[in-house]
Amino acid sequence: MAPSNEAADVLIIGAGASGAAAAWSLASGGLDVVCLEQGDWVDPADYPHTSVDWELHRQTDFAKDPNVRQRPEDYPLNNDDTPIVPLMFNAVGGSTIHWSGHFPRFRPSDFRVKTLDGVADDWPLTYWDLAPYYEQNDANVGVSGLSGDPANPERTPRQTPPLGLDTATKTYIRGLEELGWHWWPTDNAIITAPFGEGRQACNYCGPCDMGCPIGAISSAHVTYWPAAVAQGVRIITRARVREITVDRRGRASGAVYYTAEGGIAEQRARVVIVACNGVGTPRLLLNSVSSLFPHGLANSSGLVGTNLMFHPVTFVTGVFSDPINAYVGPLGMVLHSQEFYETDTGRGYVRGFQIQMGRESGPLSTALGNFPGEKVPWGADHHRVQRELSAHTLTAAVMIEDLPEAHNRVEIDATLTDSSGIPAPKIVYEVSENSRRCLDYAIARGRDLLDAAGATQIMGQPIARETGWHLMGTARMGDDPANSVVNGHGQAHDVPNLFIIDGSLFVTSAAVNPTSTIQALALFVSDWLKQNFRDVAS
Amino acid sequence: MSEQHIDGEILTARQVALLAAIQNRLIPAQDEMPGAGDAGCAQTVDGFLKERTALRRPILAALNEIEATAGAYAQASADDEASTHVAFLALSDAERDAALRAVEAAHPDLFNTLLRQTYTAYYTNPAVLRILGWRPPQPEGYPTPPPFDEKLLDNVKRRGKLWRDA
Ligand SMILES: Cc1cc2nc3c(=O)[nH]c(=O)nc-3n(C[C@H](O)[C@H](O)[C@H](O)COP(=O)(O)OP(=O)(O)OC[C@H]3O[C@@H](n4cnc5c(N)ncnc54)[C@H](O)[C@@H]3O)c2cc1C
Ligand code: SF4
Repeated sequence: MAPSNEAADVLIIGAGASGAAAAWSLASGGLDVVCLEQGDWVDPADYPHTSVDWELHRQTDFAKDPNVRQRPEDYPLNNDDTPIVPLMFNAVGGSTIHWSGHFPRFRPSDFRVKTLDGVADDWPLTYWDLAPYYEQNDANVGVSGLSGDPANPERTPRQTPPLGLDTATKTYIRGLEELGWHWWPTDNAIITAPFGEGRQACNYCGPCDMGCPIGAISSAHVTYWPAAVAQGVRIITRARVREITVDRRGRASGAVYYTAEGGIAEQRARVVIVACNGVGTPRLLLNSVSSLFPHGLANSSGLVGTNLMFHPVTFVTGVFSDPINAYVGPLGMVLHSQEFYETDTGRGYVRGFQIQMGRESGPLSTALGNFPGEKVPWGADHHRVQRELSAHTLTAAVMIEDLPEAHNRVEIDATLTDSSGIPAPKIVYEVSENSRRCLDYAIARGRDLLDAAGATQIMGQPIARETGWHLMGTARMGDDPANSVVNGHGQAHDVPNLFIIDGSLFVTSAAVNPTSTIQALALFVSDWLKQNFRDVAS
Repeated sequence: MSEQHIDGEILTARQVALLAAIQNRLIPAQDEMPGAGDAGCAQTVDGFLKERTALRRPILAALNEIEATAGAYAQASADDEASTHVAFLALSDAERDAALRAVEAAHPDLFNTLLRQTYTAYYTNPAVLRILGWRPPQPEGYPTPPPFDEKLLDNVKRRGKLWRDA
């Protein structure tokens, strides 16, 4: 093993959305920070957007599913026992390399579901604790949108204006206004005007899901990382952490990792932060077994890996007789409706959902039926149907709140490993009765919307498999060590100098995309750590 | 066999010919659009097989199933070299479609892999994309639409606060 280097003040494992925000915050507080990341920096020249065969890359090196992508830095997942497949990217910037940038916040009620609706648990913190960190995060990453949404608490003016009024947006608005539903231009972590260094305003090219070559989408490698590195944070790339090490007192002492050359090395630190996402974090904790922690690190509750939440999602696609040209503009959503967000037990389920109004992609995506889930037919009708659909559809995503259930979990697969030999995760997950009822109701509303917007044909599937974008709940927060893995500051109940800052922390999932909340939490935890560093580190 | 039987990297000359003939039924020539086989999609899929070994088994199995099914339809005459070599080539268009539908019903996963890779080859083919009018998304991007008009939100604003205090 390579000799240990100097102990850092803080070791962050994982350079994605949460690791980046924490690195920036801690370094700006004067702490010495090292980050270990199994992936590398992505070179903007590698993005496929300028190639004729750009759509092919969705199935190869820029696939969302690591089992399909199979880059050397990816780890495989056993997905045999789940109807929803976890999606992620492993690089500096993490999964924000190919995210859609939707940046809604949780609502105050999302932190209080037990009190309000009698289900799951309340969080050990409130919306109002996080509100200043949401604001700080928005200011750091750059968000386009419009403040004033009556479905959410007030927020400051967005950094750049909302996305423009294209045919897709106008078509959705027609339907929404006819139905009298709530809607609002979505907060997107996509800049529509100059913001930040070396970043250009979105030029509506379309496929954000394969990365943004001009830095318009606020991925962590163009927002926090340049600033963090300028403050002295050291990122060691192609460093795959095998286990977090502990000292005789049961405190975290650092991590052992495989280097780019294939050997092993150790990074020591006074405080260790895990930021490997809702699957990678429990995997690493469960793999970090020692005599003091025989069931995995920080796992005396037995809860590490359990309570896995995705957001069950499905797509409702409407076909229009006039061209919509919705392949123009960021692939994700232009507007959202939170008309059905809060519990109304008359609907047959608890909690709620959001409708996200999305667009379309290129001709291959149309032919493969990426959204409706059914390919364009082969044979004599092929060209006719392809022509009728291409540039003529809009797809709304309905995304429901997932409630925590202990049996939905990340565990360590008995045989599967990554290319370094580190045991890989197995996902065990099922859609609950409540979720199924909510999804069915949501699909019907998605159909109402596209109908009101003028669609001549509406297609959809009961649930979409490749939608595990949001990985949450697998090392949750709480005040009671028997019922949670970390406390209200992200500090492990069992290991006082070990912190978790990614979606694993979530007590409940809300029905909105999680990353603004993940990053706000990372900043919140980092702030507390900066103030209490001396106590925590000694 | 005829000169169209080009050796592939992974597929044999016969398999390339079979695949091209299948692809011309999956995406047939129509108006200005070429058939997928004529557009060179068999060679493209052969390239996919070279890059991604996991595709080899299902694609080869699909070709075998289709050829075996075609054998049952074939009325090949003994002196017709091409038709005895590749039974599918001896069938009429209607028989080819019937053979494909039979395999689609009996082996949906295999058939879908073949279809998916054929669509992928066709809709990433430069000549096809040129006819359809598609260009890569960058570096030009697309023109910026007019700015959002906040007046459109008047009705929503009139409803007042829609979130629960907590
Ligand atoms: C296709 C797609 C679209 C999405 N769209 C949206 C959206 O519109 N809005 C939204 O809010 N969210 C979206 N998300 C989710 C969003 O990307 C994640 O919530 C966010 O990136 C999570 O941040 P994180 O820091 O927890 O993890 P990640 O960003 O996933 O980063 C984790 C990092 O840890 C590294 N790592 C893991 N294990 C190890 C190890 N053992 N050793 C070293 N390094 C390790 C990984 O390589 C990775 O870089 C999307 C995700 C995907 C996949
Ligand atoms: S649509 Fe905009 S944000 Fe998305 S990849 Fe293109 S330029 Fe980047």
